[in-house]
Amino acid sequence: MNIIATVKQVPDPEAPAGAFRIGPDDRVMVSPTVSSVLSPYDESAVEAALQLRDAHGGKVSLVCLGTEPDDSFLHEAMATGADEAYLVVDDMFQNGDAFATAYALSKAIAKIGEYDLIVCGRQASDTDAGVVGSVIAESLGLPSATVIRKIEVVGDKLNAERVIEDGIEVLELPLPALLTMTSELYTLRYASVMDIMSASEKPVTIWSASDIGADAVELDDLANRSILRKQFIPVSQTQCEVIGGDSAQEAAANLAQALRSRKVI
Amino acid sequence: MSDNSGIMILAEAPNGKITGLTTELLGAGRRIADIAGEKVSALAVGAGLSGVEAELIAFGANTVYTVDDPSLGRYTGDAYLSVLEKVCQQLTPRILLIGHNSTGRDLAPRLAFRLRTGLAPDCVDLQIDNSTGALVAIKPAYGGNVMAMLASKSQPEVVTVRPKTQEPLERDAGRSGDVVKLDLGLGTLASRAKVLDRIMHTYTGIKLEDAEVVVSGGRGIGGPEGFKLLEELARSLNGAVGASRAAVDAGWVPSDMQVGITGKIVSPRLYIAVGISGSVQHMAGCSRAKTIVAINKDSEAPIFERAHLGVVGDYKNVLPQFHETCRELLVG
Ligand SMILES: Cc1cc2nc3c(=O)[nH]c(=O)nc-3n(C[C@H](O)[C@H](O)[C@H](O)COP(=O)(O)OP(=O)(O)OC[C@H]3O[C@@H](n4cnc5c(N)ncnc54)[C@H](O)[C@@H]3O)c2cc1C
Ligand SMILES: Cc1cc2nc3c(=O)[nH]c(=O)nc-3n(C[C@H](O)[C@H](O)[C@H](O)COP(=O)(O)OP(=O)(O)OC[C@H]3O[C@@H](n4cnc5c(N)ncnc54)[C@H](O)[C@@H]3O)c2cc1C
Repeated sequence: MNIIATVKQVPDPEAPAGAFRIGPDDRVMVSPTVSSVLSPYDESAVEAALQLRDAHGGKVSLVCLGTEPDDSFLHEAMATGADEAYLVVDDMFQNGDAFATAYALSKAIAKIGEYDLIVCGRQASDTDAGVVGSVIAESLGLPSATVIRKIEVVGDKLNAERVIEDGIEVLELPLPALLTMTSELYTLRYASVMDIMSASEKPVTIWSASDIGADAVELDDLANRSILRKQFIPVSQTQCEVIGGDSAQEAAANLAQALRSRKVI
Repeated sequence: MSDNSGIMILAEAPNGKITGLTTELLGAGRRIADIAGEKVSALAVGAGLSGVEAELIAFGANTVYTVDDPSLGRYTGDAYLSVLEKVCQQLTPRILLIGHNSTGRDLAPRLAFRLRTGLAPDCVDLQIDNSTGALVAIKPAYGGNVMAMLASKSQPEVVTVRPKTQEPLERDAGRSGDVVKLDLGLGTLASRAKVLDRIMHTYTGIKLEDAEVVVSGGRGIGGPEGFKLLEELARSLNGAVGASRAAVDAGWVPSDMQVGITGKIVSPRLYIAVGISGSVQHMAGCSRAKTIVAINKDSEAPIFERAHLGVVGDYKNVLPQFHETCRELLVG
């Protein structure tokens, strides 16, 4: 079973609010002290892919649309067990939105060619958009399902547990298919020092826009459907009234009284 | 510019009852339609929709379109996608609002791509640009540390709207509107992703999303026993118990109790956060609460920048007395 996992590098989502600034071109600037990490839902997608490969054979390939031809991040990401990686980098894709990103990734995936399943994160934890996966499926004409917490392969089909309001839905999809993954049941395994060392030997293929047959006109159409007008840092107007007292008990009683006087309880 | 017009919302009515999110979309649609001088229509897709039309009108729709088909009783990807694609081609709305729930997340990206238009996902605010009349949708990014203003050059402008961010209108059975049954001639509707089973949680007590009071606990609670105190308090206040992801990840409470960007979105009258630091991802799920109360032993915790009222202290010392005084006030 050949599985492709899309992986995005994001600024550590748990960075403090002060780490974010808006740059001159209205793009978000992240403080250099914030490290880049694999987007958390992509970690779950990779773990799901590894478990399926371990159970059914085949290989796991990682695909990333990057901003620089630096493949060290992909070598690190392969330490947990992926077999190979592809990095797409081209000026043509810089500053693209989710549709442009999905276009580039779907072209790369089509070029990789042999796959039974594509797994993506349910949303990248920087933009929280949740668009790229489904659009890759739409471009490639594949069936898809989103926010999946568990995958099982049964013969030439797969069963996927999709998280819905107040429960889950068990879906059956034909292969090949695309799923976007959530994190409840898949926690990415640790890599040992040996794994990390051997991962540096694993192959990373770097592709440009022309390598994957990307078309500038098509890309332009996609990337211009939405406009990012501007970005801003929200300011919180809340003023917290800290309720005191001579003891914790008294503060607690005063809090209840304060809620009563505000007619909240 | 194309000559698309009007604002359409996708209504959801599982079991023949319109959802709260549907009324929120109608509220938002009505508000922007009034500014832009346009009409609001609701598209109801499902099986057995009679009765739903009148409710949608009572909550603000000028026109209700229905696609009533036994195979559309519950959401499935390809079938709904075909229906929405066809409806948008025939009725050419300028703006299409869809809830950012499990249906919207699955449907909207493929739909927008297929309609050759843009998508503004998971938006919390909708504005009309005074000078151009264009829609501007506001979407949180970086967990809510940054807000992005998104517009579209193509139509329909598809927006998914985060639950509990828009005010519904008061229900008014006196409102009037038209009902149009659509026959799309799509033939048999099947989806490649087939639903084999649905396993729903069973609830005892009040549902988290519907509760007027939510008492949530985080890592600071220290273990499952501590949550018992929260449950007792919630019961007295006629509310429900929520949790941060740290408490869920620790295995103290089930994941359907998680509040936040990847959990439930709540907007109660009162939200009490106990032993929760106030990360952006958590606050994204409760920041619309009317009153937020923080109980935390660290006076520097970020939650105190987001809460309206707070007590600095160990919850084990604060909560019992707080509960006691609440009880006295409630009977008294
Ligand atoms: C609100 C908003 C603000 C933005 N601000 C900026 C900004 O300040 N600066 C800037 O440079 N860009 C910005 N962008 C563009 C943004 O980075 C692109 O939208 C992004 O590359 C596309 O992915 P997404 O984050 O929307 O993905 P989502 O749709 O949320 O991603 C879902 C999944 O798709 C896969 N995926 C997504 N992107 C990649 C990738 N590059 N490689 C491999 N897999 C991937 C991952 O598996 C991911 O989990 C912004 C976009 C939005 C919507
Ligand atoms: C992609 C992504 C998605 C996420 N989605 C969510 C989400 O949906 N919901 C969510 O909640 N989180 C989410 N998170 C996690 C989030 O970033 C935080 O890690 C999490 O909310 C922290 O939980 P907490 O506040 O309980 O724990 P902590 O941050 O550890 O805070 C514990 C607090 O308890 C206080 N405390 C300790 N002991 C006591 C005591 N005895 N009495 C009183 N106070 C005490 C401490 O002072 C501290 O402030 C997400 C993270 C990522 C990266």
